[in-house]
Amino acid sequence: MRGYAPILLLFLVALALPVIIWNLSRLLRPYAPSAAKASTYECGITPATEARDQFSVRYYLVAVMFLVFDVETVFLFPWAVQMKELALFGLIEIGIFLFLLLFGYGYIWSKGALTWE
Amino acid sequence: MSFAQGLLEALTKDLPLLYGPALLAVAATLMLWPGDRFVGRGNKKAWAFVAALVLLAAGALALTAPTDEGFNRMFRVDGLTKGFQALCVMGGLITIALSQPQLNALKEQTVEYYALILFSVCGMMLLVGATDLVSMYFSLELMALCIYVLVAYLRHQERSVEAGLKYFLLGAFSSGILLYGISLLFAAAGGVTTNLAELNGRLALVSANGSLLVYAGVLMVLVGFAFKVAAVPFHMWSPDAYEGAPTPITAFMSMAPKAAALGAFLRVFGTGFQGIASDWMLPLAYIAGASMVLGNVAALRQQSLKRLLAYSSIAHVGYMLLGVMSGDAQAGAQAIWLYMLTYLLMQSGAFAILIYLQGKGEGERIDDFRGLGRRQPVLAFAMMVFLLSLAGIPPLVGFFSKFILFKLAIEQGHVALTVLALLTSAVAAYYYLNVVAVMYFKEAPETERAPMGSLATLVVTVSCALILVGTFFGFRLMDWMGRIVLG
Repeated sequence: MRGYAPILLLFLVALALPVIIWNLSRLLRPYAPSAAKASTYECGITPATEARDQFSVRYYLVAVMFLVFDVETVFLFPWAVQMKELALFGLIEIGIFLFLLLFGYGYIWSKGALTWE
Repeated sequence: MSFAQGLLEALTKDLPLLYGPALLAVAATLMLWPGDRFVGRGNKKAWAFVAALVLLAAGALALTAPTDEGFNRMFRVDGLTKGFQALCVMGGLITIALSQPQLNALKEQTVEYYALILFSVCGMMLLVGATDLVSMYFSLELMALCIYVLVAYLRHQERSVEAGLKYFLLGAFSSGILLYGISLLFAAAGGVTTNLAELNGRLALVSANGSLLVYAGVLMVLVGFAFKVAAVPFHMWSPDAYEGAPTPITAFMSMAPKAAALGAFLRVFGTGFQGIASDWMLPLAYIAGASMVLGNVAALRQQSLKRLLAYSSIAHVGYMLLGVMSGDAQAGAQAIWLYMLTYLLMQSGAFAILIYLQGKGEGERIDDFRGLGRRQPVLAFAMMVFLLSLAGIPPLVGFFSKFILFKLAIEQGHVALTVLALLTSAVAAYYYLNVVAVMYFKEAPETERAPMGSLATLVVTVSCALILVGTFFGFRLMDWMGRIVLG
């Protein structure tokens, strides 16, 4: 456990630092509150609506699909690095992998998840 | 031999182990696309028959798979795998049969429903054969993700969506805990393997300095599994999810995933972590005991039969955990398998009758069973058989499976827990018999009699017949089956 002592020290410093700075600035600063200062963007445009808003479910569909194909490229990468060693077997394997994803893509397409009204 | 050739050879050698699950995954994918493009709006229920055929074929392939280990020791086919795979396939088939009337009545037939069941059963079949914590985790997720969606399937009903969301959030949370536990065990064993057999050998040798890591890791894995089988105190999701889900899916959740998760439980704790049994035995004993007590006591107060069956299934899991705690892994597996088999028969029959009485998805209160004995004597008799068997009243088959399990527990020295199990079984008899009393001794309301679907009738008849047959042959038949299947 001795090896963890510096981490504990770092933890304590990290805890102490904001406490000290915050209290110090509270002692030094002038105090003049106003309504404009309390608003979300003090020096920007006046907020029109709440920040919390409902998104169309389509955003999530697109996001999930992006994730799927994003991860697909992650899997392509190690194959590309080892392409020579994997030879034809690897090529066919990755072909099957891409082909399988096509099925999912076809499903999404046929369900109309890609049409944006 | 080049590297690629070696990979190809290993793949062709190991693939026969996975023919069953692979068939399920491929068929379900093809059903979704392009299969569904060519089926008209009104013909969606044809998918039920396709799905049932695929399940049957996958079950046959799984049972004839060679007994071997493969994929870098990540998957293993043995008696335990085959036995529990058969249970999962049976659960899937029964669910498809039970889904027909309700989905037809609600006009909610889609291909996705059946594809999700197939994907989920695929996950279960992989789960019970997984001999590596990583392959175990991903098959667990495949199984669970499909069920989250199925629970929220009736998306126009608020309670179905609520149940799905609750189940998903708690399930995701428990998966996180499980994964963290796996990573701790991986680290404690030196960070070289997640294979169960190797891990067991290494963890048993961990010095006292690292034992805290092992302890924390094993406990977290235990918590993750307890979530999945809904054992107290990690059962909170189960009554809500059971109540909100479409009733056939409730039946599914109480049969197939439970069997699969218990199979994995056996694999991980019964055989895998045997070397560090002292770390998890006591917590598991508390979990089992708490499940028996809380499951049975809470079931006493339920008005809804679905919730009652949910709480009673918590209690049944508590009993089955006795088998996991047995030091004799083979005997424990046999006892749990038999228990699960009989439980599956009783649950499927009870749910078939419940779904019939529910009609369009309403009316699952125990009061709805009033006067069933006069209205439909045959159906009421079948329901009585299922309920008495669930209560474990001799000479019905539920008694034998309980007896085998409790006998094993006593032989293994868990006397106090077994006494608790016996006492809580007596409590259970009260609420099961209460339903029987409502059926026979309460005045029937004036209702017209709807015809029961042929598939549901088949499920009820077969389960009831099997329970009665099991009653006459009792121990000998069960002993023989346990030995044949789990060998």
